[in-house]
Amino acid sequence: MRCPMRIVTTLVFVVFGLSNEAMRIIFLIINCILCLPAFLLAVDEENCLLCHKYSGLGRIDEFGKKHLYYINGDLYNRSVHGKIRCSECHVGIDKFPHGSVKKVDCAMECHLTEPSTLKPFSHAPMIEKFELSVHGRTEKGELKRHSDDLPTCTYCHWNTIYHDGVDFYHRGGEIIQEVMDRCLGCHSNNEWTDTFFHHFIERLYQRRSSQRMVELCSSCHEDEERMARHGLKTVGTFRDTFHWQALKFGDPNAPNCINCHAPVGYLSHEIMRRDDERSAIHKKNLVRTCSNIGSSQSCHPNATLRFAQGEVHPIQFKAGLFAKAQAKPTLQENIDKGKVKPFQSLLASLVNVDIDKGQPYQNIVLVLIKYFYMFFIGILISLMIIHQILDFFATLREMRTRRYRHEHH
Amino acid sequence: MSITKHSPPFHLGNQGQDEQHYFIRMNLHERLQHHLTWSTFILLAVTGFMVELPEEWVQQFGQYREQVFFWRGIIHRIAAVIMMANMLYQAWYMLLTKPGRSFLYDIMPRFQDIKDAGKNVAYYLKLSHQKPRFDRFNYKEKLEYWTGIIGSIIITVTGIFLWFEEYFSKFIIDVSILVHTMEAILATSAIMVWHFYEVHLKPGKFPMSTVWLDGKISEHEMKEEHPLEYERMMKSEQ
Repeated sequence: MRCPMRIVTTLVFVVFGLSNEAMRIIFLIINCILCLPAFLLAVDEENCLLCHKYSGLGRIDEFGKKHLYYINGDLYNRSVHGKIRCSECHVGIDKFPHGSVKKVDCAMECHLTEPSTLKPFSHAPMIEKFELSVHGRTEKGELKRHSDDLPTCTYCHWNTIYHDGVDFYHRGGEIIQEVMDRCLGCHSNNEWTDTFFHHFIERLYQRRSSQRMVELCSSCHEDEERMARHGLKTVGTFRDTFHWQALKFGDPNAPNCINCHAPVGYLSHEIMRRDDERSAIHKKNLVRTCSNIGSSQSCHPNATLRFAQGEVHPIQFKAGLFAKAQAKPTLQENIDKGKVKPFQSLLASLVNVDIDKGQPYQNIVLVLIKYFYMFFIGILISLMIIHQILDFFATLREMRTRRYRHEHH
Repeated sequence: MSITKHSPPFHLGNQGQDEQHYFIRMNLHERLQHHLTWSTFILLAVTGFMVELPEEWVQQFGQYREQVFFWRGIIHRIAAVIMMANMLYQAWYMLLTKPGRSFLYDIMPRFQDIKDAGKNVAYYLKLSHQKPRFDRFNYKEKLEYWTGIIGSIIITVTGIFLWFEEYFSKFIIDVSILVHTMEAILATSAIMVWHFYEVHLKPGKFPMSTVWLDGKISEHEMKEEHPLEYERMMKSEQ
């Protein structure tokens, strides 16, 4: 039914144009009768998908920016917001074409009732916490400097599709059916139970794989310019650590960004500056963070203060077989600010290394060891290769002489 | 002076009709030590460098990569323990047995080795027509042996720091990671260039010298490569 209908509607658009109100009503009626699948009718009470199901629906605004208004109803239906009507979030839509519509505010109250308080549900409490964190856009009621660099809700959350629950606790899909059967014993509405069940397992899982989590955080934190605006260094050296090496193999014990910056007892929405006492990586909290007792991961349960102190993604500490380029040194900045003493700066300029506040000499020692080995290996192996090549030709020469003697005696 | 004084069957009669004489170059202890060394070395290098693989290569393991990582760590540690035990075995052999002590005496670096190296390079470059005459161990073998011993000790110590990381400071761990990896790169490339050429790729040795399997070296090779030892042994036999 869909294909011929698409041709018909396209023709309608072409012949009569979008503004023809009468045509639109006719088109709506035809569509309702012939085209709209039943499962979409159930969710899309407001019939938004009537237009928004067309993949070409979009416009280019006055700044040349492309906007795509296409919604895949099937995917939306299975997403975490699949049971929420469009107008619950997209408020102020009352005419066609819609005109300028306000952006979605995630802190709005929903029509949903929060079952524990029976008040309208809202993401506002989480957003309040987030606004107080290092990633929040405001500070003491005012916008922070370079607030455009900071993430919005949708930067990390993009109305993901519910996790299918397969591989739950390292088991196949059968466990989903087992649990569902138990739920359906009392909850007779199959569809509602399914949604509610997935609402739960969505939160039992870590939604992103650890690698994707690192990618998400790195998408900002590896941007040197952006980090420099906020007085931060890039986190590129995380990919030199053993943590990352274990993580790329998918070791469930290996920590991603969140596991250390928001471990048990912290929220990823409440990440603070490292010098804030509420931060998981503040000196006072480091031992607890590294030991991570009470987590599903077993990290360093016997961690001591000595073990926990120091840079976790330090500069140049790794041999760097396949390592990416290191962060640029900010030595001159540090000298200008008076953070670095002349002797330190002299040493550092020798090895061209960024000096950190806490441990000026440790990085230098590491870099010196690295350079010593690089030179030592380079020179030794080169000499060895030259020696062996010389030996090769000398041995051939010897063999020739021996054969010559053998043939003439 | 040498092992041969303490191990009578150094000159093991004939083999077939062509009266091929051979000598024992590696006794059973030494061969066993060598087998333990090369097998653990390969295991340690493979499981160790695995963590350095780029992300795209790791993806090739697919769903098994978690298992691969788990067993990689286990095998690395088991091989490390065998390697350490082998080092203790070698220490016992060198210090407390007669053939071991003579091995240690013969492999001690001497000033003569530096002179030999200079003479040998001059010979390679056709500056001299006289090939230096080596004793039981030439300067190449001594260099390889002692760098191997020093490298093993460094890599063992840093490896133990990394294994029991929680008992040491973060700085020691950082230094250990760096030194452990660098030492592994050094050892692997040195073995590839120095040892593999000497016993596999060198003309006349290809595909490989069989001393490490049966411990025997032919009289011809003995005269060519270890003339001083050969003369000493023939003299002591008379």
